Amino acid sequence: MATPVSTSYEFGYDDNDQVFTLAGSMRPQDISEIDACLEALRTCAGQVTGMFYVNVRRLLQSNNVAFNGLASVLTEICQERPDVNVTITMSSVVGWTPKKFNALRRRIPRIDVVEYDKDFYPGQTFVEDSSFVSVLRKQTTMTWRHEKHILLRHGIAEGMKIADICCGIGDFALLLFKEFNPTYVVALDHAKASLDYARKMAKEFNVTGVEYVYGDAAEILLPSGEFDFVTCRHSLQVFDRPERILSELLRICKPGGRVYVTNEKNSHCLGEPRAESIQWTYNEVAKLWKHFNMDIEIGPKSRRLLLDAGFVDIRMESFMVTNLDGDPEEFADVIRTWKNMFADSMARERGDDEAFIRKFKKGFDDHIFAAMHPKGYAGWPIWVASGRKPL
Amino acid sequence: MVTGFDDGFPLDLSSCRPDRAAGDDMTDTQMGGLPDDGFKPLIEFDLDTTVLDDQWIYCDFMSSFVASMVSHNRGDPFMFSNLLSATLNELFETVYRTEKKAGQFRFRMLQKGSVDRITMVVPCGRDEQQFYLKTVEEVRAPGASDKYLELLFSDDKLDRRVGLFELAISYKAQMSAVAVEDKAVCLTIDLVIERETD
Repeated sequence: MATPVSTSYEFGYDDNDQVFTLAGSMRPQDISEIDACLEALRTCAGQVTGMFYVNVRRLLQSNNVAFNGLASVLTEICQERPDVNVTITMSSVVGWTPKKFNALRRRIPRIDVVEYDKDFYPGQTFVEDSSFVSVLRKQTTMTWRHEKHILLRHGIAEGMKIADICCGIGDFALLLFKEFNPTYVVALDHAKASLDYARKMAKEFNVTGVEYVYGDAAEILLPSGEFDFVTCRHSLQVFDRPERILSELLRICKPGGRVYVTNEKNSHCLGEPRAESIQWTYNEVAKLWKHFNMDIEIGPKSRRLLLDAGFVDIRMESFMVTNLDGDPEEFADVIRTWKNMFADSMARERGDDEAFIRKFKKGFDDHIFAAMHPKGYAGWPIWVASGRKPL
Repeated sequence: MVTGFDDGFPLDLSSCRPDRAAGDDMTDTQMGGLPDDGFKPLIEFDLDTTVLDDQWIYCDFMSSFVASMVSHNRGDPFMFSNLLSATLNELFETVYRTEKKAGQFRFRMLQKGSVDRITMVVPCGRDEQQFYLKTVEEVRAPGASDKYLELLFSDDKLDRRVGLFELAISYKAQMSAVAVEDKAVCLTIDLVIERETD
């Protein structure tokens, strides 16, 4: 894409997807200054059949002069092309866009407006459930015991600018802040409920060096080359296009800085006794996630994904969270929550029958049994990988 | 002459001092500083109107700069900055299109809780004073929402009132305008942008 018109905005057309994209900041004094863009919009609309997409997800600003011009051309397209419908894709992160484009939709019924971000997060509705918060905190407590040592091997150091993308409830960002004394931490997530919780916790702990921001990990509104260390934990696995996230992580990382990701391979969760039942259930978990276009098996693929994204000097290792790390009840609590989310929410939404769900749940119960057994062992493996952005 | 604000709205209109002419050496307090209902100053600057008139792009520069400077420690700094920049830019563009007198354009931003207050003193004559006074009345009149949409989607050249209408209708800003003799107009705008980022 990208036909540079001025230093502040650009536009382009992808005829394969019939998408006209606008990005940057459009604040002309006179409408004639964006004539080329408006003419291109008209021309592209003339070539399409059916649906014409106008992507303003990265149009960070537009003054009323520009918006009036865009609205006029889009209105004209709808009047002159009864066979064409217009869909404007915007990001809820860019605050001004819903205000104005929704007003346009109300005037012109053949113009539809969609928030792209919502479609990009297939698992969001499951993990945004507020009841999930307590288990997320426990998970962080359990993984932090390992990661606070592992992070040092992946290049974290004091005084860095750190971005924690897909920060969830923000507790990992707080731990980073307290442990590694960074210059500052920006923590971004797409779940407002999680961010509210994160801000509340930061206030309670009197931490002012972490900024929690609402944002889309696939279209991060942070400057390029800004951060020494970028973390993204347990998140590539909940997107159907992890390569999109990695390209954004690479972009915001400073040349020479590192991007650190952690992911799971759920089918490798294990326990003794009752290993067979546990194994069966976690194999089914992997299939269930796949049904919802998420890959909970992505952990060992991290090296390839980082290399394909353009990182070098890949460092990779794995660790096992177990019932022996701390209180076995903590481990059991996490599995109970997985059982509820995977068996009661996701499997039911997939349409699984009661017999399957009973068997599916039994594996989780057996994992809990193994965790609580005086001679038992239960594990949850996690893969850590980091890559350096080339200079 | 003063227009704007419902009774009971927490604004001390003495923040605009009709006894002072634009370009006079007004202090922070006279411009509506700390004594103004406990609002704390965030940022302020003066700009010679000849400089302001020099380049349109200054509207973009000023709105982006101010938005980035005052958006830290907000609930969502990026969303706040994006919305504030959009609102400030419309204000600065309105001022740019104002036929101004020689003197100092004065901009000041203050905060109290979730309310951000913008005060601007624009050196101008009576005709332009009337533009601001009348527009502030119009944005409060019945049917202002429809009028805003009419202006925003107009087929004609964009009416310069659209920026003030947008603040009042789309951002639910409270605004007042005070004529300072025949020398300037003082605009005071109270915004609750955090509400917009929820």
